[in-house]
Amino acid sequence: MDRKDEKGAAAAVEYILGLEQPMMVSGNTAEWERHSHRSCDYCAARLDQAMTIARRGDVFTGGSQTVEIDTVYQRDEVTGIWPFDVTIQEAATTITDVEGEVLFESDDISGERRIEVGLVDGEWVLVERAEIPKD
Amino acid sequence: MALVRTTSLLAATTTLGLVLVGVPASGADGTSDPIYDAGLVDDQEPSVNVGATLEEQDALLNGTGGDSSSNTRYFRATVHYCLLSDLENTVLRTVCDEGTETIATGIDCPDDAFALAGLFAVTLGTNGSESAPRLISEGTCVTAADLEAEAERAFQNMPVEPAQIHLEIERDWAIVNFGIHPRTDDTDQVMDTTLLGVPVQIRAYPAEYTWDAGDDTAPTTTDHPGGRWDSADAINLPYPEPGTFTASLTTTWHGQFRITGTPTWTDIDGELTTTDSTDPIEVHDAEVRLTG
Repeated sequence: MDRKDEKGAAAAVEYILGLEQPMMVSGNTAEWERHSHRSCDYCAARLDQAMTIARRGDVFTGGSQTVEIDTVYQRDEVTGIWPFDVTIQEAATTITDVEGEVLFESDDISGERRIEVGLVDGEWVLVERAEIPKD
Repeated sequence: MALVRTTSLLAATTTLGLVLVGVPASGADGTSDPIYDAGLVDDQEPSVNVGATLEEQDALLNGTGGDSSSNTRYFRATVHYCLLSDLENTVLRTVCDEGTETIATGIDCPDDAFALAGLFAVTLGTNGSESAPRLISEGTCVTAADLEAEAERAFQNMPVEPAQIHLEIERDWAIVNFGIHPRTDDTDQVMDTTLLGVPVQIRAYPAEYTWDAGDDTAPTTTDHPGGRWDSADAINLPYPEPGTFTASLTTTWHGQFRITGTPTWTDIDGELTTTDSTDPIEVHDAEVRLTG
């Protein structure tokens, strides 16, 4: 991830996406925020959920993610973004409140997504995680 | 791993304007329970950064038919794009950081117009380098009049759901000369789309309804969707002869559009039609039986 090229971008994808589940469990959002770009809607939505869980004292279990990179695109010349297509496996998740009542649960799910990463001041950031556009 | 070149520009997303409203339950602490999601649910919108098609690049050039194999890339200095100007290796920095009137936020438009950011081009070199952005056209205020032809084309391709036939009594039979009393809904359908880089809403509204009993009687055309059997708006398909018939409703839709966020709808030339049909209806003679 120290590299500032395509290989560094690929490592950054795996590292940054791997930050989400620990953030949900611990409520520690610092590393996620450090690697989130200001335009990233997905980053903001997940940060908001993690902060809500922490504020309410809810409990997040499961939800670990594995990421497999399927396609590496060339760096986008206009934006400087490195786009990737990945397959994400997300383990079953349960969120309960302080009394143990289940607020949310999901089964194991998987999906293919477009991941965009870029560099800001030498640090890799997630610019967006989104549906893969249909050509 | 395949190495693929992508294009970059605003992705034109076309979605029918359906809105789902969630009602949060009340939590134990008296506040509403939050609405949580899995990550793979929160990321189902397409990105507007990278991945738009070359077709959309052509559209940006106002239909001049860009060359897909060209080494020239076009982009507009939109508000969202300029948020990306802090990325390393982006050409947006030189465009957006200048704060000129070519970027979307610097264009002062009236309420019924859209601030269309300036159009820029960069030329890609063979060694992965790119030229400095060149201004192709200044930012401008786009009004509905500028979009009429595109709106007409989009309306003709709009996926309008047929207005559904509802029967006063849902059954598959009727009695001669009593027939059926169908009606439908007069609900508008709205599509969000992007025309020449401008976000637009296109609205189809039902203007005329033609009811065909499916027998030898002439179809009935109304400008209303029908009503209860005892109301002035009631539609009656009487079926004077017994048999098996399928009734149909052909709805004629007219269109309007507006630049998203502006108040005024503008009429679109042309019309669309949709058709809905009933299941077969068995029409019987009523028998009179004297008893007692």
